[in-house]
Amino acid sequence: MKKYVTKRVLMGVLTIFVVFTINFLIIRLAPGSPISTIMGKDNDDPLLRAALEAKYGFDQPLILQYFIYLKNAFSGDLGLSIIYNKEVLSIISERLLPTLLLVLTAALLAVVIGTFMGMYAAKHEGSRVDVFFSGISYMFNSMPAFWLGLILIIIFSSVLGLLPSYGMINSRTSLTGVDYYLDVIRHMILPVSTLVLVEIPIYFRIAKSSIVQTLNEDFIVTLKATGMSERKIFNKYVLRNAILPTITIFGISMGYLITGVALIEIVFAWPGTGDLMLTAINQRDYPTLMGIYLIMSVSVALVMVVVDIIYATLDPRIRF
Amino acid sequence: MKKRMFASIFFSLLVAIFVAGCSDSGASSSGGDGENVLIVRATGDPMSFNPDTTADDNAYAIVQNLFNRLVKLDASKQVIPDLAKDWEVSEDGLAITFYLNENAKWHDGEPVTSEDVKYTFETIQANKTYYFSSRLEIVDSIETPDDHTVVFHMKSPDVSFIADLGWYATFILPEHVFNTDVSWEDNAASKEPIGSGPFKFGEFKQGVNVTLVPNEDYHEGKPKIDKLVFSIIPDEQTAIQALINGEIDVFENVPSSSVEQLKSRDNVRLELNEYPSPARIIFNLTKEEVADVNVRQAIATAIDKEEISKKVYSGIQKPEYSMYPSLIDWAANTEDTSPEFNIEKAEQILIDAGYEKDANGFYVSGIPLEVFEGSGYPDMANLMKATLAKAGIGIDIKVSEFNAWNQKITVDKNFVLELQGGFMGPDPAALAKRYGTGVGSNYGAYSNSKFDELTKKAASTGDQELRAQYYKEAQAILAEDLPFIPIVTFAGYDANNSSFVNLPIDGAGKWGWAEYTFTERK
Repeated sequence: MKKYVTKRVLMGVLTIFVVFTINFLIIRLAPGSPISTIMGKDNDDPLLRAALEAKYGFDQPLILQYFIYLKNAFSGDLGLSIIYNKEVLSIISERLLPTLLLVLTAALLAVVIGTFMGMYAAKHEGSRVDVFFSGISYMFNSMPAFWLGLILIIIFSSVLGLLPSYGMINSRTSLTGVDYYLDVIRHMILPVSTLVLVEIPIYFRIAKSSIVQTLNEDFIVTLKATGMSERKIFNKYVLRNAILPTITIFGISMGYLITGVALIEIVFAWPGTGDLMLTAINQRDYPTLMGIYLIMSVSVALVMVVVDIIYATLDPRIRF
Repeated sequence: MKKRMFASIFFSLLVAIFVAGCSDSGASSSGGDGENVLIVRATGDPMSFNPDTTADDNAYAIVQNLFNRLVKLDASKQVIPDLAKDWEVSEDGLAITFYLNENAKWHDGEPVTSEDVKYTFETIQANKTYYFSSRLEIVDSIETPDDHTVVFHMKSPDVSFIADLGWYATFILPEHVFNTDVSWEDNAASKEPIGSGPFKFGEFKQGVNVTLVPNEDYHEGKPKIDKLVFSIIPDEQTAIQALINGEIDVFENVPSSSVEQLKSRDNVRLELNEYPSPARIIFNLTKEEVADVNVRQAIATAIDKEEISKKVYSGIQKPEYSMYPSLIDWAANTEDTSPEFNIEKAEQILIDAGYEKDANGFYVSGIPLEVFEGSGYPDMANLMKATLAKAGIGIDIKVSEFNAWNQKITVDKNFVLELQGGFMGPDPAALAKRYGTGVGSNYGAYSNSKFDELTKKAASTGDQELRAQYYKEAQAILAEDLPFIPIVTFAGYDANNSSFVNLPIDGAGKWGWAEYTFTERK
């Protein structure tokens, strides 16, 4: 086991390093630069541009810029955002909590609801409920999330006037204590619902198909023949086998946690890391982008290692 | 299993309903304590609260409420007094004297003096990375005869300098706060600003909002609202819903496609806001394809501006024929303009110039047009392509994202035709900045010594009538040479909560175009 884990971790570190290098190059090779953002729209003053390029070291060769950045990153210094003149780490960490709150809530709800729906549909395959669930799941699966979000805003905020349409807090009032948290929850309902609605179909279909598949395996027939109760077979043998793909999907979605819901964050003006990433791309804020990508690749690598280990524990067929 | 599933769905529904019902909806406009809070939609985080280091659109509306300039622009984009209550230009145009308001104070109680003005501009001048630095090269020295008088000594006469002082990155900063060992960028006051404006800095929550509170001692009177919040909503459609629900009060420049929807709302007031920033096609005159003026004439004649205005902008952005924005009517030449739409005539121009049709029916073809994503520009380009093709002119539309487009056009100058907007005010001297020989924003490398001569003469006199005459002559030259084609004006509706009055849009001749000093609830 120890050897297996070490190998996995080493692979993860190597992946992060390669991704880091590719990111550094790709970002800088893309046309445009943060200098244009700082200079302001529709302004071209060659003197100003030259002065700014010298200030941020963009007049240095790319390879030198790379090694300087690499050296700093190794000592834990992700640098200053060119656009905001602020520590990249502090910018990202300020945005991390809202994203985690939003994405984790939605992912947990979606995995629980979707899997239960899938289990029910698999046990009653062909029933009316199954047909209904499958239909609904196709419908939401084919909807663009940002569009669904906007529709929910129109229904629940504009027409019914029940829920706020944007943000994480009400800018008009300065709430404290319990009221503050209730306000945040009120603001979470629409974005979380949007995410849950588009994510349920994924877990629903994975759960349903793998349970149906397992139910048709020979060993289930054998177990049934022994006279074991249906419930026991299902809980002890079917579920344990059928839950593996769900864990994989859930794990992968955790890897893309911090940037995966960027469009939803934009639609709901949610102050998260996805919104930060898209803004940084538009502004070509190299240090902020590198910081986000680094965190993203670390979390993907980490999740992969964890998923591999969970797999090995759950599935007796995987041996080291 | 069945029971548990329904239980969980039921439970989450219950929670949702409970929470939704437990506090009142966001639809009421006043705050919890009966405060008058005005919420302005912002599109993103400001880069810094130092208004002079960069020209940042996300900070611009905010800092106009925290700081003062010598002069400012109002909603009609004309120059009005700010810290300088009056100014005069010497006979030879080489000295511009500003008389400051004696009552102005910094937010920490210190008086605003001419020394602050001198310090601000001298520091900008010395730091090449600050936005206004290169414009200040024309200034020889700054003199402060007394606490409330500032004299700018110019190297050469340029009256348009005054209007530029009311534009980006010219805000007066407190010397006693900023004159330290650290640069402006790293000074703590660039994160928690101390200004002299109608509002004081309250709080900045990254990605959420910026809160300003009234400055009780403001020299033009204490603001009438209790809190001014700039709330960040990146998505336009969400912002429109938030305005309809009363969750925000001010939304500058709503998309033209949403105007009809908002007109039907009683709680929303729409006012047209026009800017001297026409959309225009720029020709790169160093490229063979468009070096012949006949080709440029033919292209200009084969663009249907009326159709573009109607189909892309619902008629809100009007066709523009004048070479200088017709909005600034004292300076715009409405006689010598770019040509009217006429396909036969366009074709005739090419035939007369000796062009011949190729096998596909084109006199000229394959001319690339660089367009950036957004503002309706790709749609505009497609309509042009259709009418140009009828006149036998083939263009290829190349759409890119803004920053990439910017690199290609303004830095690499690698284009033949490009479509852009951009401010042509506050003074017609902008003509020289965009089309003068060898200047930075003259992307198409236009050069005409007669044009340069005229704009130079116009900048060195304070006589408005004479200036108008020079600028109109200069425009006649542009209309003949056609280094660019104006297409449509820039205008958009500002949508405001109708329960507030004296908003920035109402302040022509009275207050600045993003200033909320006099805004109050009806």
